[in-house]
Amino acid sequence: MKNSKLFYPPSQKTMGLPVDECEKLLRRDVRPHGQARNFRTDNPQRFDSRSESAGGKFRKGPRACLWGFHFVLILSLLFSVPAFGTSNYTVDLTTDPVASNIGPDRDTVHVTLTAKDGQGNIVPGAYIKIHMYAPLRNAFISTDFPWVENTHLMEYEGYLSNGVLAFDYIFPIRGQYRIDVQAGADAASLSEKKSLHLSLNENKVEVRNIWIFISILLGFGILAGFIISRGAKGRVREAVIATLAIFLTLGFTYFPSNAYAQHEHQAMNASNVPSFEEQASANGMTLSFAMNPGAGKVGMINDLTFSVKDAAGQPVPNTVFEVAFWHIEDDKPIFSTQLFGKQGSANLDFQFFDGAEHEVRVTASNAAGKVQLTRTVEVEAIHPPMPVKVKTLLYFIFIAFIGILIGFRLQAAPRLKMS
Amino acid sequence: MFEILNEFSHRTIGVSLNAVVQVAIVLFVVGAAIWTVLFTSYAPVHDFFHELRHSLYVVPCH
Repeated sequence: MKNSKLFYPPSQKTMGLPVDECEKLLRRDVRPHGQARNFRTDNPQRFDSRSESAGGKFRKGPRACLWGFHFVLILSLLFSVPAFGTSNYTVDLTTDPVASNIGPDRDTVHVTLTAKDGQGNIVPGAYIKIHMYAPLRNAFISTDFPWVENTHLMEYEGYLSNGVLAFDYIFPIRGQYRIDVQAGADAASLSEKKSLHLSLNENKVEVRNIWIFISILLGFGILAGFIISRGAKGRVREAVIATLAIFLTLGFTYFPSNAYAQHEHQAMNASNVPSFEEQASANGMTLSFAMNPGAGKVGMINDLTFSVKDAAGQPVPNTVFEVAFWHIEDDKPIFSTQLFGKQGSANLDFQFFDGAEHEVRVTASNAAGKVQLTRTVEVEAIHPPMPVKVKTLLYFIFIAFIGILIGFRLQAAPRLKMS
Repeated sequence: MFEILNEFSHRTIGVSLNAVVQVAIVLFVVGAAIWTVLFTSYAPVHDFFHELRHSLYVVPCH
């Protein structure tokens, strides 16, 4: 009943009819061969506002239904507009390794998106549009990169020379990634948007480590509870020393020899850094790389444009851009791909998820030859949100508290008497 | 704790804390230690324990 009200203008509310009644009345007004009846000629009174104001007999039900019919018709037309001119292309997603074996922030994953037609054949020269989203935020526990959660990671649209868009990428966090895909012969005839999902589990090592950490906390809590419940006055100092000893030991146990990373946390606001354009020339061509804003920031997307022009300043069509984003500190690429510039340029929106310097390496190749360019970009690191830090800290304190309670309980338990 | 009787001698005074206060102190110390190791934004400490944070399931880094 609620829905039926939607089909009536506010002034007609009082004569609103249920949808099924509406349908019955409309069906009566359709000729047997399916042709709609001419309401104006068959029953002129129906649309004559004077007869209504004059208090003439007016069939309120059918008129109201007609309002509804028109309203639904307009809505249908509005929502069916994108259907016109859309293609029946589909996009397949494959990863190597498979999702269950991918370790976030660790493994480089080869992702392949293939544009196929209605018959399942790969379509060379297809146009693709992708938009990748990071996993949603969990209200209770955080990932390694809380600023990345629930953000845009990557957006690209362009032609694919061989119908395949492949890229190597290090997925930053665990969770379910959403990749919206569309494909078609060109930008004007894209298929309907489809969402593909990729679920990644956390690294097994991290899961194991957190259980070890919880066990240590619990063990320490039990020890502290046991000592306190014995009524050992003045043992607080021992408890404090024990706490510090355990945490220092823990810190050094997990501290690898190369862990003293120069992980700078710059005091800048990357979103205000002006855009830049870097150029390099070779073989009579000029390769340009533009980035906006001019620095990255964890959680923020940057607009990257690659273009090649000849000596006359004209774009060089059918250029392939080999793009790699190299994490300087870790000395490995976090993303690499080949983008096809049918008109001599390619555009990629990308989020640098780690707050460290990256090197953007671009090689453009076409019939005229190759030209390459390298540019270092800053990425602003942000400390985790304070609520996330406090929440996680409270969890750990709570675990220690549980341990203390267990210690109290153990101390209070009756002991066996030796006879 | 001790009380100074004069400039040459002192007397030790026993201070007893009840269990609740002791538990509170222990939890405070635990919290302070974890905060220092895992959550501080003080660059030298933060950078030193960078790998540790990334190797624990629920600990955020940045």
